[in-house]
Amino acid sequence: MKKVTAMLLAASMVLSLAGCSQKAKEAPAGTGSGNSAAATEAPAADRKVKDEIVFAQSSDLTTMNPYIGTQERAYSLTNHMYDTLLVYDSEMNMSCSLAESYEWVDDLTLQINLVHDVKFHNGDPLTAEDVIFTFEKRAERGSAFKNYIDVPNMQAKDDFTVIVPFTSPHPSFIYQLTDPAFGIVPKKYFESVGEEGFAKAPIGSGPYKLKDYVTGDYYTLERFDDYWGGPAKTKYLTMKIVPEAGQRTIMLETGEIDVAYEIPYVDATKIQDNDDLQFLSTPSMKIVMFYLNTQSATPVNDSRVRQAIEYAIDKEAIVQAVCYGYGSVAYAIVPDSVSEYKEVKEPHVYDLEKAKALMKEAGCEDGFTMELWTSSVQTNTEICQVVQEQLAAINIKAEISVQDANTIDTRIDAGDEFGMELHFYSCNSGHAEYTLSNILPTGMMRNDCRFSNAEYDKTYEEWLVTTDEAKREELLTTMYEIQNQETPVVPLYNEVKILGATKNLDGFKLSRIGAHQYQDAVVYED
Amino acid sequence: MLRYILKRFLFVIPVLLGATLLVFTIMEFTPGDPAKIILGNEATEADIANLREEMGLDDPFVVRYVRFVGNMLRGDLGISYRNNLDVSDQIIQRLKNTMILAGAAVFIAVLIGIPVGIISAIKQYTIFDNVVMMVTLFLAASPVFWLGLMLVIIFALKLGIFPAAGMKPGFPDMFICLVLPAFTLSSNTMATIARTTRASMLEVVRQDYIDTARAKGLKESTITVRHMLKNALIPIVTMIGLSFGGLLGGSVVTESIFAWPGVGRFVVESINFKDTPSVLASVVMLSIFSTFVNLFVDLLYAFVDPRIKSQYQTKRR
Repeated sequence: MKKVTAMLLAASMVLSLAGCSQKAKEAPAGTGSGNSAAATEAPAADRKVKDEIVFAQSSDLTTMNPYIGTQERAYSLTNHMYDTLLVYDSEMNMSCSLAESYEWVDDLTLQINLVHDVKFHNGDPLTAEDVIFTFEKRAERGSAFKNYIDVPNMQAKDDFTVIVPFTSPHPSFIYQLTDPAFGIVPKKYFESVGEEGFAKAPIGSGPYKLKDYVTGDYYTLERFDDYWGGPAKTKYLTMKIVPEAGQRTIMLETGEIDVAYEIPYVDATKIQDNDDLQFLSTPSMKIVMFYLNTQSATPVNDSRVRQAIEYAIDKEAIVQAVCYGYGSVAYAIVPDSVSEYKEVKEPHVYDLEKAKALMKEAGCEDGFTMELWTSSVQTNTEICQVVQEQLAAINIKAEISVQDANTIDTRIDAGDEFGMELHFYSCNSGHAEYTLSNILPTGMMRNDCRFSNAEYDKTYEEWLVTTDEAKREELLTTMYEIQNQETPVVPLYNEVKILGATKNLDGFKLSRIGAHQYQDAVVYED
Repeated sequence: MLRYILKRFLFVIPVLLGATLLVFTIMEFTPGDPAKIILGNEATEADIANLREEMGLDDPFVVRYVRFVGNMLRGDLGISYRNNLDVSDQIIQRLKNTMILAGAAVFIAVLIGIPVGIISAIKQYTIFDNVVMMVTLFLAASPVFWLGLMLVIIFALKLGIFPAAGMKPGFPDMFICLVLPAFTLSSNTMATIARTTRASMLEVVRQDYIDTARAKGLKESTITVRHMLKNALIPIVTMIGLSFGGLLGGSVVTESIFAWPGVGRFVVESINFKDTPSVLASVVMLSIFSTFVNLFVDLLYAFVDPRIKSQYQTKRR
């Protein structure tokens, strides 16, 4: 049996492995640095604590079933109901949760050792069978890992040890275990109530259990007193759906809610200036980017023109004008906080003269007309208007076409002509593969730029299965440079999440993927 | 009369078939593949094809529609594509909330609109009439989202009298939560009812039978209520009925502003997710309720105007 520590991707991975073994029964989730601090007029111990924390977000979640409700809006609730095997803290440091430790037995075998004495909300123990069942359910729902994990042959070595066999090496898979969509579901309960029954009354092993809910209105969770990591500090946690952004801010000001998510940039100052509130922010995993149609009928099919477009876009101006400064300019398609992020060697920093020169070199000095697609989200249309102005400087006439997101997807699948499309991608696993796998390899579902490059595909395939760290670095560099040279995607900025909260909130932990943590949070009454 | 009611009930069937066929067709042609939306970015073409087959989406249009109608007749409106929950349960909950909101809005509109319209007609061209005309014009022209936010800023943020948004069960919480959204939703209807009442009253106020009533020495209040209002009521009742039907399906903006979990928001969310069962179920429920409301209004005519009642009785004979 070969212990392939070398296979672990980076030194941080090794450290996290070591950390896992020590952390066994500590509080698992949201162990990052404190993100909210209540104004302390009196010692915390003397202050009366509210028995309910209410937070509001804009959209209803699709479902409380973790492996179906894989959007950020679902994470904000389900991350309290389910535990994952591994977790990230606020600074994107990975640590163990339900997995007490894990070990690569060889290139094709991962052993996960589970924490003992974990209970689901109905009192059933969490065992290796539940982990295997969760893998099976996720594979049924189309998760890509089924292409390299031999799910039918996963084994429970004993009640608390899971053996995961791989059909090909995939060292970066481990990061996916942090994704809230990988919350462990109880096999026995699920099979007894069925898919619909579970959707109605789901249970997990998280610090909160479902109390009651009205879809589209609110969801109330109640503290799970037998939680293996110790009970949460506040008895009830309620999520309200408040679609109107301005209303969330007002409700925060009137004290109807304690925390407001997705604060519009324009309201940030209002919260900062209010002595009764605290302003919270964190970089997100989301990169807002343009997909450039590499097979366009217009000159956008020429990599020189695509580079010219990136050189002509003043990204800092967009961040300042549209996002009120809440964002950081991006030149890579993944945020710099993810594993295997690499800085682009020669980023296409705003340079109008260079853009004009490239247009001339491509024979497009006189410009051309193309369609610029976007959804109707206000920030997106504003970005497109700024970019439309900026591209006019190199004689590109971008005709903005605002469409429903489903319409854009359908038209891209149908091969309709477009020049650029505004999109975003959240790297939810915290590893570059999550984004790289979906956007650029030939034929991938989200390869909206219709990019097809044999060298890129070959390098990508090799990178996926390579366990040698130095070799991975080399391959990754090649991929990033091909991408920079070909410019099928123009990253604009890394979004910053902003939230507002009462000044009396304490112990709240922000998450870069939106799975903010309330396990240690309290709201003081005074 | 009973026969008439029965006949009207039977009309619900073609209405439902027409409405569902229309919505089914529209949903068919709107872009987006539910299987792809459900499975997300990582799914392969094979995964999507499998799920499409599992969901029966590969069957021809007619087969799927007939299957839907068959299930609907058995009272099964299906399972939501997005959350695997029974669609009927979700709609009934939402519809109840929308009915409360729309009902309260109509109640406020009637309570304020009719008396104001009557006084305005009786005191035509006085300051009161001019002010009422100006205010109702303002209310009719104000966009609901603007008016709603203004009310929130004044009554929730500045005065702290009502909550800014949300819905709480039970009395008096529900009542307190209902005031601002109901008033916002009622604003246009209230203005329309007030102006319709005024116009309708003005038509009868100069009729000979009003002069006759006065000549008989009847009290002015009796003349106003018994002789003027009763004769002016038919267009007002029609307006109220139409408004209620419209408010049931058209309160989506108010529901969004006040985070009121009604059926309007549910339909919009379902359309975005291409959740056809949820959209169809909403349409079915709303069609049934709208038909009931219209029937109720038609029956009300008979009580308001004895001439219409006699028409029903004549037909029966």
